[in-house]
Amino acid sequence: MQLTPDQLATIDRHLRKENWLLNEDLIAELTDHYTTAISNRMTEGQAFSESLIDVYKGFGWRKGLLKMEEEYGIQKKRQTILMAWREVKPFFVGQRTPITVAIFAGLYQLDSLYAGRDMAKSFFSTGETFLIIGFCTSFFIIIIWELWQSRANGENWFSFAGRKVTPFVRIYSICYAVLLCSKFVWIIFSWSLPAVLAQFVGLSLQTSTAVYFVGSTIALYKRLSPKVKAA
Amino acid sequence: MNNAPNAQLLKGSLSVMILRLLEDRERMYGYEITQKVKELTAGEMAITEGALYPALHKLEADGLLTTETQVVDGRARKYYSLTKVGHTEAASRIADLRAFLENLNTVLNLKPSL
Repeated sequence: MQLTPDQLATIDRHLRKENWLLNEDLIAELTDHYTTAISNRMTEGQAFSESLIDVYKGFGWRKGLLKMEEEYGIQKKRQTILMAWREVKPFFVGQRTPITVAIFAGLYQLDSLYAGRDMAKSFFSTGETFLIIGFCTSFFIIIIWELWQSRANGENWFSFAGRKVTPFVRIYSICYAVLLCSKFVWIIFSWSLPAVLAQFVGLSLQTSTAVYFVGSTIALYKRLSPKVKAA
Repeated sequence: MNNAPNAQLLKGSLSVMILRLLEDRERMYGYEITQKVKELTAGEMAITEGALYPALHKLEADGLLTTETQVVDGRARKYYSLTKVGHTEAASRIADLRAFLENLNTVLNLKPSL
């Protein structure tokens, strides 16, 4: 049995206003569940309001719905972290190891090539500038892409900003923090080490950052890619 | 069937049931899973929505399930299916649960010693 627009609006109000749910992905999933379950119950002769209460009871009332939303947020964060690790791991042990070696060699080349020239050193010193430009460009592209998606889905800016960019900001911040450590903090400690060893550790830090960034971006791309198809 | 003990027993085996159903059906959505379990057990076993969705979300986060959204009657429907890792894990968890149930059965069928 097809539900009327009023009944659909009641379900939407029930989830958003009466039960304070905010996560759009979860609301969409629960809306489908409520709609299908209620329409099946109505086919069997039950009234709309009774069916709604039955389904609501199955979710554990408001407490159950809110707990589910909280848990959903935790699982989504966990999913991003695990996905990122699954993408990053092959760069260290697996089929992507040659890429890591190539990045390390590239950074070593840059470091050796520009190490003696003051002006170039300040700009290119260890390839950090390239990485920072890469981060900013990717961040910009993701923001534009997300805006485009949210506009297409009829969502408002705030719901999109709070929900989807957060993992990227976290990954960006971790990468940037490691880079800054490598640039400013590591330099202080490296004075007591032989030059070759200091350079090796510094470059390893930067390579790990680049690899982590690439892996995390692949994971985010996979996670955020819409997998919607028409019936 | 009394619901409280049923819910307690279900708790530990819910994820295995989901994996088994998805092994059989390729892809399913939340409501479909609840109905399938009801149908297979002739209404003896009922999975509550409050238990099902957190289990599905956890399996998805673990990388055992993947989702695909399809527009049905103008609304988004989220289908769950097993990933490659999910298929392997499903086989392993089902075997573990079967072995556990066999052992449990042996203990439950223990004849009182005279």
